[in-house]
Amino acid sequence: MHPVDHSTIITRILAGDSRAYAELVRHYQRMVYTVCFRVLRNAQDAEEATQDSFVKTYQHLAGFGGNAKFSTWLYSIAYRTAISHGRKRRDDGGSVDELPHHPAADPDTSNQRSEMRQLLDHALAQLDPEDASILSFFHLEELSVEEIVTITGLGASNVKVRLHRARKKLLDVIQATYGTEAQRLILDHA
Amino acid sequence: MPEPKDKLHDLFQAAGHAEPAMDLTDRIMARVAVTPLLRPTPLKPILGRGAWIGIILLTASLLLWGLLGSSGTEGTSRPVSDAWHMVSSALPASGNWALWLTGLSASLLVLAAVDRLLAGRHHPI
Repeated sequence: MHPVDHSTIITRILAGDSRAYAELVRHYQRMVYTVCFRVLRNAQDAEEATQDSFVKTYQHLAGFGGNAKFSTWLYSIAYRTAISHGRKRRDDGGSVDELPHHPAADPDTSNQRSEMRQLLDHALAQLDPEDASILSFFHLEELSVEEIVTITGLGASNVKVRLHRARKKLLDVIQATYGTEAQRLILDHA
Repeated sequence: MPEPKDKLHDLFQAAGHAEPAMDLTDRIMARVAVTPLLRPTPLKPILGRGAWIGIILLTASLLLWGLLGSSGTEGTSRPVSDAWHMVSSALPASGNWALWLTGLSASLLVLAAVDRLLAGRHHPI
């Protein structure tokens, strides 16, 4: 991903150039979508939550003080929006734990990458949605514990404990479900 | 940050992000086009700085007056003594008024601080 000059883009948007927001959307949509997908485990709901997250972020852009990183602010909105979608779906009688549905793959994506993503999606679906999100923030986005605390609103010690337990459970699930196949994918090609 | 040799970390990195539909940006931007930007309205304190300074001065004067009055009216001048008796007659017969006034001042200062604090806070999204 190419670097984005957030402050310039935000200044342009606040001056009335709403189309400049497309640059931020293109830059962050995959991560925001991944966060929503980890919580909701359903492509359609995740896309809906992603849209809502970006619209909310746009609406409140003038209130973004710049005290935190833009990405941290955006992820916290996405995380809370996804949690709220999941809660609403449960209240409506739906299940959050539907079968993980992997969305349409990128044509350029190699089979091996797709295979690994599928393995990870299925394994993460066995975890608590919040834990799956925390793991993604930590391992995929490489966010610090402090940033995860800001995004999730959980305490630092809680985040550390959840990370530790979720990692252990994820490894156990991968090992139990995929056995030697997991060894091949993780150890040989990661 | 995770350890570089962490296999789980490598797996996340190798698997990458989940892929949304190709037209997601367009759909988001279509919604953004009809969404107004919300300009945060700054919350003003209920009472201005001048009013609070006035209250503090008034409270301090009352406190001082109360302390002088309660320490005995014999040594005080006639108008002050009269005024103190007038205030005393309006208050219940018993109690340590210096203490009450100190409590009142402290409460007002706490209220002022809370008011300022609330005014400086932003509403969460």
